Amino acid sequence: QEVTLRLHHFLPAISNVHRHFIQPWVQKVQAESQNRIRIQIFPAMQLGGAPPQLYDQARDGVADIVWTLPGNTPGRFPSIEVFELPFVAHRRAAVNVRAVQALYERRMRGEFADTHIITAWGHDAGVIHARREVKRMEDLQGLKLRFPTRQTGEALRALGAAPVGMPVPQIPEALSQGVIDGAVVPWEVVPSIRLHEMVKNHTEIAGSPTLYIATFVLAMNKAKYDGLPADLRAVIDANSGEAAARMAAKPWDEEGPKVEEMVRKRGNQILELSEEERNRWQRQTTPVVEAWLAGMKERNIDGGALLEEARALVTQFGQGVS
Amino acid sequence: MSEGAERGPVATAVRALALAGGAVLLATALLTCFSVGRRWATSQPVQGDFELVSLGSGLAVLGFLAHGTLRRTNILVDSFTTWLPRPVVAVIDAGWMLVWAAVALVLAWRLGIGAAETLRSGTTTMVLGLPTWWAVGLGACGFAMVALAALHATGRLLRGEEG
Amino acid sequence: MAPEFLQAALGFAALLGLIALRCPVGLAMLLVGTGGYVTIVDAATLLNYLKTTPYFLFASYTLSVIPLFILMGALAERGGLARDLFAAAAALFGHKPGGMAMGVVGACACFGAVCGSSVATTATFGRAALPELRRYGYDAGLSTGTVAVGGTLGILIPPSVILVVYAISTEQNIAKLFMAALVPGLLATGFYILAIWLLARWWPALMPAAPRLAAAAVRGAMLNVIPVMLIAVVVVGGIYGGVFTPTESAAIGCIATAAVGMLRGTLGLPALRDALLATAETTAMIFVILLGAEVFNAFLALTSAPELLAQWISEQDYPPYGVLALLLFAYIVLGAVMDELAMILLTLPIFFPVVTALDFGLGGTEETAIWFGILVLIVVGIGLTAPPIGLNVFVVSSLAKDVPIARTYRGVLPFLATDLVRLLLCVAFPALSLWLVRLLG
Ligand code: NA
Ligand code: NA
Repeated sequence: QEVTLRLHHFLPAISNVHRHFIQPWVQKVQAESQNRIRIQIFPAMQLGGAPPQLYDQARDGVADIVWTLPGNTPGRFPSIEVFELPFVAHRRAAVNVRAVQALYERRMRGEFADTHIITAWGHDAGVIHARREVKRMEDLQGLKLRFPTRQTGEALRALGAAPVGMPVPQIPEALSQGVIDGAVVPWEVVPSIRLHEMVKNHTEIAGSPTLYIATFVLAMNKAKYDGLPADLRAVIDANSGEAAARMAAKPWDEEGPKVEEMVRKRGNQILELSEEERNRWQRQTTPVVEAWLAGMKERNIDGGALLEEARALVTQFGQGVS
Repeated sequence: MSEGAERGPVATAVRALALAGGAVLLATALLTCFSVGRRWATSQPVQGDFELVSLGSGLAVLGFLAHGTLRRTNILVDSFTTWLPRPVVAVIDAGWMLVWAAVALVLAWRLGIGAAETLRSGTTTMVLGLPTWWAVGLGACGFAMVALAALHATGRLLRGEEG
Repeated sequence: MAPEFLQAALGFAALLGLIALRCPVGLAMLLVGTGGYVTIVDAATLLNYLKTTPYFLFASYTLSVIPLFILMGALAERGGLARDLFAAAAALFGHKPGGMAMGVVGACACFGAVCGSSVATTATFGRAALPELRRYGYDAGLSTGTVAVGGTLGILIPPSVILVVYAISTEQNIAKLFMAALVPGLLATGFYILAIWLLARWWPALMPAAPRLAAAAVRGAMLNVIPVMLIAVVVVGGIYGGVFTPTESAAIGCIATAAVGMLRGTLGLPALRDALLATAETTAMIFVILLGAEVFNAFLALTSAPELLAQWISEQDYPPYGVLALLLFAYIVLGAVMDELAMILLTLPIFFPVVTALDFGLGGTEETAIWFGILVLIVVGIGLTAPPIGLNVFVVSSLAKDVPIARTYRGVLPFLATDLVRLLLCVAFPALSLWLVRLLG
């Protein structure tokens, strides 16, 4: 028996994640199934709809597999937001992918119960890319920064910035028109939107835990998964969970530094936040964490336990990783 | 194109909906001007202005659709049917209008389900945290009005009141 | 034929068939897209896909610029700004042979800087200028033809709804496309005026000169257009100068236009109401087509035909300009027989990857994409006036019911000749489109 699956996602085919995670993962699954599983990739929302609809497309079978951000639909997957809180995640994707996947397995299956999650993961340390230098908290005052997910927006607001929410493809236009002064995204995204040509300053947050990351899931339609013959399901399973998460770290941990090198060679200024300044930022953003905890309490979820566990996992997997 | 003086409850309701949509669009424009002014003066734009603009223009468009249907502003090509007698053309147009009514009903039904699911999942917008379900629900109402307008227009075409 | 292409080809054939049977274009795309989707996947999946798609499609920030530009145009028209523009142009040039017609073109170009839609521009000047042209004894076909062609300046001069749609479906920068359109748009204006000048010399009987106005009247007419010129400068200058996003410019333009109309007492509540209803009609028309294209394009992606075709063409090693000529020719043929918005929405998924994979010796794929966008815009302009199906000609005809449509088409022909020259110039000299982008970008 042969099956063809449609994989749908929101980035163009030239993007790092498409080339360095989605494609290799698809090729591996196809090869290990002796080509009995065929996966057609539809990048750039080719199958229609908008990015916030991707998760439902997997749930409803509009696509068989989707790559999406839980943060695209704020409020819907509250638990996974724990990794998006300020100063929780590690600076390396290799650590975050394992931590997110482990916590997903322990505590979040319920929230994603209407799909089959192949893997859940998070990227590496996000970087502040801005027109002006950001060395201290005061430099953020009034800076209009595009933010990726809701919790990061709250954190930036707490630090004095003016967070502006918009989809990634809007960033170049908004920057050239002064609607924003910069954006916070990981290095990996920079070349695809030519961010390095529009801003000159890039601020990295030293050490771990880092200011923020965003989380992702690779979600599969449940009926499609359950309907696979046992041996093909085993192929998917062998490329799920931590195994897939480790593959997912590549675009960020391997391509990210290449981008950083390219940007440095171009003559842009790459700043690093001092340890002392980082601690100030962490203190300043604690109300964001507290607000999230209060919000979780309203939903009858023990946010405190989640947070503790997330931090423990990051520490555990982060042993010996700089 | 818009000297629509049709009377009757359907035409009035459809026009009122379109005007409401227009008012929302004007309000969206005003908000954007205000946000630009604030950004220029204080470097702090109105929080969530992007979201409000998307929402406002989306709702405006949904309010406009029924009016466009009733005024039959859809683009169609009549070069291949010019030789047909007018009553025949009216019947063909009525047929497509009926199909459009059916399509709009299906879309209203699907958006209604979409709204219910969005309510259940508790999805909100990113910056302001506004719930999304009611806007999707208004979309369902918009398409229900389209269906009503299309049925109304079908009747008028079949009665030969339009050509 | 590979099954992928067969499915796609059948889809296009069904679409053209439905359109020939008077099925509205947006509905036709929706129906064929639905049929194709159900054939390849199934009905239940399609129904799921439709649950939130219309909402998220309409409530998008990038698309919000379309209703706003349409509203600005409607407010400018109902507020009498278009009439003022034409009055000023007629006061300046009306006494010269062909001067009234040149005035229409000039006023259309200025109006084009505050209106993004060709249909709206055509309808506006059909009402504001056509009766005047006829009153001064201009030939009927030439009058309607001039208004139909002048109306295309609504999209050829930025802002332009067609360019916004192109930018969105190809993920290009709207502001840069607007910059690229400026010189070709002014070129179009110049060519149209030149065509009228030549016609007036060869056949003076077509367009008798109007009496010269008193100097005071000319001055009054000129003063009247200062507000609309200021608005145009703010809207277009704001986008070019990197001060506003296109959506912000449109919003500012709407409010400024409304304010001018109200201050001058030309935009009372009844006129405002009319402007909103006119906006509703045009916007509904466009968004129904966008919805149809969304479903049709999902079907097209499911067939994989676009991707395979682009891959196949790039493997053939055809000369880039040969492929470009072929695509533009296809656009001219398609544009003659179908709606232009639908045309670009349907073809871009196939044509765009093909074009950007070719090397025209420009600075990267972004420049190729922008340049191609301007070429597409020119062919769209041609399609809007070319027989047998030219939307602008239809709009003029609905306003001048006494002029047979064939006469309008004849009136359009000399202008179409200049369109082809302009297309060739823009193909041969990409710098015409790109120099402003390179300067400001
Ligand atoms: Na324009
Ligand atoms: Na045409």
